[in-house]
Amino acid sequence: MSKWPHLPKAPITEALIDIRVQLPAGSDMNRMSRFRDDVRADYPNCRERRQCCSLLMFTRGEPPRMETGPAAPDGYLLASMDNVQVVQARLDGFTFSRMRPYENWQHLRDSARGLWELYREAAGPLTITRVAVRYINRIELPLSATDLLGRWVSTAPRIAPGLPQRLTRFFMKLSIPFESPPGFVNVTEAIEPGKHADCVPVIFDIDAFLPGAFRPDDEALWRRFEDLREIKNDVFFSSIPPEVVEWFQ
Amino acid sequence: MTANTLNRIPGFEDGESESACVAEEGFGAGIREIQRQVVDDYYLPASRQLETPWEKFARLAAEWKQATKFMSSVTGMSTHWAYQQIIGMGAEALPLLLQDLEQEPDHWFWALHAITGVDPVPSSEAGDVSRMTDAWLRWGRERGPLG
Repeated sequence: MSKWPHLPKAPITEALIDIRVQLPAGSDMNRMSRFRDDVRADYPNCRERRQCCSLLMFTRGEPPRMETGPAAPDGYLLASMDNVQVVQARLDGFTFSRMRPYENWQHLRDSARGLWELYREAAGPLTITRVAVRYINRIELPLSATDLLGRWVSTAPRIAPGLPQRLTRFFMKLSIPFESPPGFVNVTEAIEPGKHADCVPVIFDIDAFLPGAFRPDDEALWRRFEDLREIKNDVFFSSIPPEVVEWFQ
Repeated sequence: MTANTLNRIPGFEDGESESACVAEEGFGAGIREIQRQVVDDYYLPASRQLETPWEKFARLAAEWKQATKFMSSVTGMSTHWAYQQIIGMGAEALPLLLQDLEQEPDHWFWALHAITGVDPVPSSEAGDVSRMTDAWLRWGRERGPLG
C-alpha cells in the first residue's frame, strides 16, 4: 500500500515497467516472433524495431566520411488497437507501457506481469540485469518560464543570485541513489516548446531502477517493482508542491 | 592533463593539436557514456517510437500522391485507402492538410469537408483547384488552424 495518494487526473503521458535481460548466446528474432504471435490478438499493431550504427569520421585533408552498418532487427513494438497499451519484446529486454489515460498501478503491474510470463516462455532469458519503473509526466504550468524556478517544481536547476532568474529552455538529468528501499532514480526534466506564452509544459520523467542479477522466475522480482514505485512516488511528491498536486486530484 | 593520459581522436594522431585530445578515462569517456545513456533512455518509451500525427500524415500523403499521380477521377483519388486513413485521423489532420495545401495545391478538399463538416468554397468556384485552395486557406487563417 503506497503512502501517497492516487491522483485521478495525474499528468502521466506514459507509465512503463522495463526488464532488461541477458538471452542465451545466439538468440535471434525467432524468439521475439514467438512472443509476437502469442500476443497478437490483443496487440495487433506490430512494428519491427531496427537498430543500426553509424560512424562519422573526420580526417585532416579529407572530407568527412560516414560509415553505416546494416540495420538489424532487435525486437518488436506491439500496440493495442487504440495504441493505449504497448509492449516491446527486444533481444535486450521487455517493456510494457501504458499511455494516457493512465488507470492505476495495479493495472499496469498486472498487465506487465502477464505479458512478462509470455516473454519469459518465448525468449528464455538467462538472467535479469536491470528492472525499472518509469513515469513520464507532462505538467502544464500556467505561467511564464520566469516563475518556474523552485516555485512550481522543487527539484529544479538553480541560477546563482545576481543572474537573471529566468529560463527559456532547460534540460536536466539527475541520477539519485536511494538506500531504503534500494534503487536509483534518473530524473529528467525539460521545458517542452509550447504554443502559448502563458503556459509552460514541463516534462518530468522519473525512471526508478535497480541494476543487478535476478532470476527470471524469482517471485521477489515483483516486490522490487513495488519498491521502485515507492521511490518514484517519493520523487514525484517531494518535487511537486502540494498546491500543484491538488490540480491532479 | 598530460599527453600520456590522453587518447588521440582518430585522424589527429600527428599530435599537432593538443585540443583535439580526449581522455581515455575521465571526462571524455564519461561524456560519451552519458550521451549514450541519454539517447538509450530517450528512445525506450513507446511514446517516442510510435508515429506522431505529422509522421503518419506524411507517410499516408506520400503514398496517396504516388498512387494517384496519374489518376483523373476525383472520386478515385478520394476513395483511395490512404486518403480515407487521413480522414480517419480527424481534427489532428486538419492543420497538416492545410499546411500541405499551402505548399502544393492538391485534392484535399473532400477530406477537409469530411473532417470539418463545412465547405467554404463558393459554388461558382467549385472545380477550380486554385480558387478552392485559396478558399480553404482563407478559412484556415480565419478559423484557427493556420492562424
